[in-house]
Amino acid sequence: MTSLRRALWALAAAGFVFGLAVVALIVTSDTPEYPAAWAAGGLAVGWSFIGVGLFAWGRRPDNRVGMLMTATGFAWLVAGCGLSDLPLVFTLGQGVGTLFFAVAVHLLLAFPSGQLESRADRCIVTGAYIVTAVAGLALWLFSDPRSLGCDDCPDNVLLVYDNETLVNAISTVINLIGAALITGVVVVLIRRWRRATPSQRRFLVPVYAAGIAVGIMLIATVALQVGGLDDPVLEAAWIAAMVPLGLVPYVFLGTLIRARMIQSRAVSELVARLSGTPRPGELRDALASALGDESLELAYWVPEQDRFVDAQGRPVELPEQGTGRAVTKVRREGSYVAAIVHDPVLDEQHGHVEAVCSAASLALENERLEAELRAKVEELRESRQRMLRVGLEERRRLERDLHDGAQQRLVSMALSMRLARARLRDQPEAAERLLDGASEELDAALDELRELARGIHPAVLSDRGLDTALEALAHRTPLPVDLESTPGRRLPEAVELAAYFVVSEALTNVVKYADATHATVNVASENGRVVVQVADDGVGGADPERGTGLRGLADRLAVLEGRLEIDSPPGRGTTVTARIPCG
Amino acid sequence: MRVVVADDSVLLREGVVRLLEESGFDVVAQAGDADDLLRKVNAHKPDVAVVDIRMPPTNTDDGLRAALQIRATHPDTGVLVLSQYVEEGYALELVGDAAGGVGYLLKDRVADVERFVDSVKRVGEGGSALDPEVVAQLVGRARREDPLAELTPREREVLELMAEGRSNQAIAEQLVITERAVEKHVTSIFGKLDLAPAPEDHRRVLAVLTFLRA
Repeated sequence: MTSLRRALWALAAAGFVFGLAVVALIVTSDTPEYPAAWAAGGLAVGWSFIGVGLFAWGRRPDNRVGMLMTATGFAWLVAGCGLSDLPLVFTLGQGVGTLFFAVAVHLLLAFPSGQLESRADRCIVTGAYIVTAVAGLALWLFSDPRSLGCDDCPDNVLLVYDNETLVNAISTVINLIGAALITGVVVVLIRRWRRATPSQRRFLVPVYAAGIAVGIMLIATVALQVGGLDDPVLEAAWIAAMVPLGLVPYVFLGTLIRARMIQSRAVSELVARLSGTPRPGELRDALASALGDESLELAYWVPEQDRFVDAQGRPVELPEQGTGRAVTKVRREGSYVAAIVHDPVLDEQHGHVEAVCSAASLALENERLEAELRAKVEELRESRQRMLRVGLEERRRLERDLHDGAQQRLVSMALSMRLARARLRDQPEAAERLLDGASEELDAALDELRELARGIHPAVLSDRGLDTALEALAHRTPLPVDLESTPGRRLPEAVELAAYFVVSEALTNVVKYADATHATVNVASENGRVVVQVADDGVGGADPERGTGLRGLADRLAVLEGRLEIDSPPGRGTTVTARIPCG
Repeated sequence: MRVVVADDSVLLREGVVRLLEESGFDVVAQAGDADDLLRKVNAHKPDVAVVDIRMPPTNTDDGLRAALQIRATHPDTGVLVLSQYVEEGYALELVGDAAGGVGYLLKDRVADVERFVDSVKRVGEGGSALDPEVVAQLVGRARREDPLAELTPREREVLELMAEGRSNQAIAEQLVITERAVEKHVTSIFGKLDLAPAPEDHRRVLAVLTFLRA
């Protein structure tokens, strides 16, 4: 037996004994007109709340509803002590017994999650506790039940100073606050009903039933107070009001049991529906009806892209906590399969959601594979378009570089040569100067062409491979570059080229933006892929979306199913990592 | 001086041949690919082979490989490699651990006939000729602790010309100073870089290159 179970049994025993004690107190008391009815009704209500509460507590220890229900039962029994004619017990029962209403309101507003979800809920419940405990006790400091018309009542042991005016004033304040709190509860409950989905409403029915029962009880109490504690008719009304109240725990219990039955039927229906090949969208519908949440949405995990996508393969942002939507992630064999985005009320039916998820996990995995395929196709399509655009831009840039650079120089050279030819005989010195100028232009044009060619495809890369090309690249960079590791062997040409451009672009960025003192380059081939890493000790804060350079790199890599990661915390350098699958 | 010229571009090859012949060289054979080159060098044992780096059969660095083979098998034949690109790695590989009878120039340098001819002659005579671009890259490398920073601008110029394989006399002419001044600079550079003095030009090149590539 767990310690919780032991504690629950102890509470059950305490409740049992306490109930019997209260019955004995009431039956032997002179105060009530109908002691037997009081005793029977009181015991039924108290034990119902305690028994059902302990049962619920044992089944769902993490949910506070069971505990609150048990507390309501005990508070009720304490209130029952108020019917005793022993002065001490009477005073305790009358003074503290009103706590019952506060606990009951707490239970009402916390069902079914056990948590007070909104600020308004918390305010109302806190107010109820303060009014019933503090103000209730304060009232009993100044009121003598006999001067209030209860001739049979025993002494008030708390009484310090009998003052009817003061008692009336305090009562009025308490009643006003009480009325405000009740109005608050009614408003909260109505608002909740309005906003509730059909599946949530299923859980609100017992709350309303209980609310009405407690309301009747409260009206009876106030009426008793206003009408005088002795009126037999009102006392009878009070006893009658205990009947609906006694039924409340069973309504709660019935709801839970019905929900469980509906759930197990839903799971078997789901299994039957998924036994065939589900049509597109059918899985979602099946899960929506199994969980009773029409608003349910599905997202599928794509491990390579490290994100969830919808059935069409488009990226999906999962809702954060507190946005009115909840997320349950489905795992299968240790890895994510899908995420179910649903009504937060389903969090209360944790076991049910889990059962539905495991019943549907194979179907989810099938749909996940399809969604993953679509996501890949989608990404490829996008990256192909970007490649096309990048390619066009690159060609335009090349055209511009050629036109503004080498071509201009060659034109000017041609001009100089013509001029020199014309002056060859008459002004040989001028001709010489022109030819000198022309050959300078020629040198510059050749330099520019060489640089352009290197940018398009570095010859040393195809000649000697990545190691030599990276060495040359590191030496050309106007910043100390530690080439810590290189693959040491030839890799497929496309992989070498991609790795080379990652390093080249990353080093260019380091020089341009990072304000670093040095950079390190690591290229390792491991587990069938090449990992390229360029790190610097610069200012960090690089934005992967900035500029076309990194984006273009990511696209270049995407074609090879490679990925680019940029880690650039402000002030702590930048690390660019590319992972390229490699046979 | 007997020369073999290897280049798969007939136009360029003819150009280089004509230029060399006009400058008094004896071009004994021409080759269009690396294998052809090796055969002709074997047959003619020339003083110097002028080799384009990019040649058939694979059109990558076949010329460089052939050049390395010639250097290994025909120590008396100097090799001058012409390249479309400045790749210091290639130049250093070509030099290896002996800077005598070896050269690496950008292809466009042939346009500067006088200097090109001088380079061919130097390589043929067992000296060395490194392209100023290659030297500039070696000198310009970003270093953590750069001893080159201690050199004066003039010493830097002298260092670069030394690395190209120029003699003191050539350096003096280029910088328009006396040979004596060049010698003083050289001593100072070797002191600052903590290098052992090397009397011959090509040994000096090797010492400087070894320092620069470290």
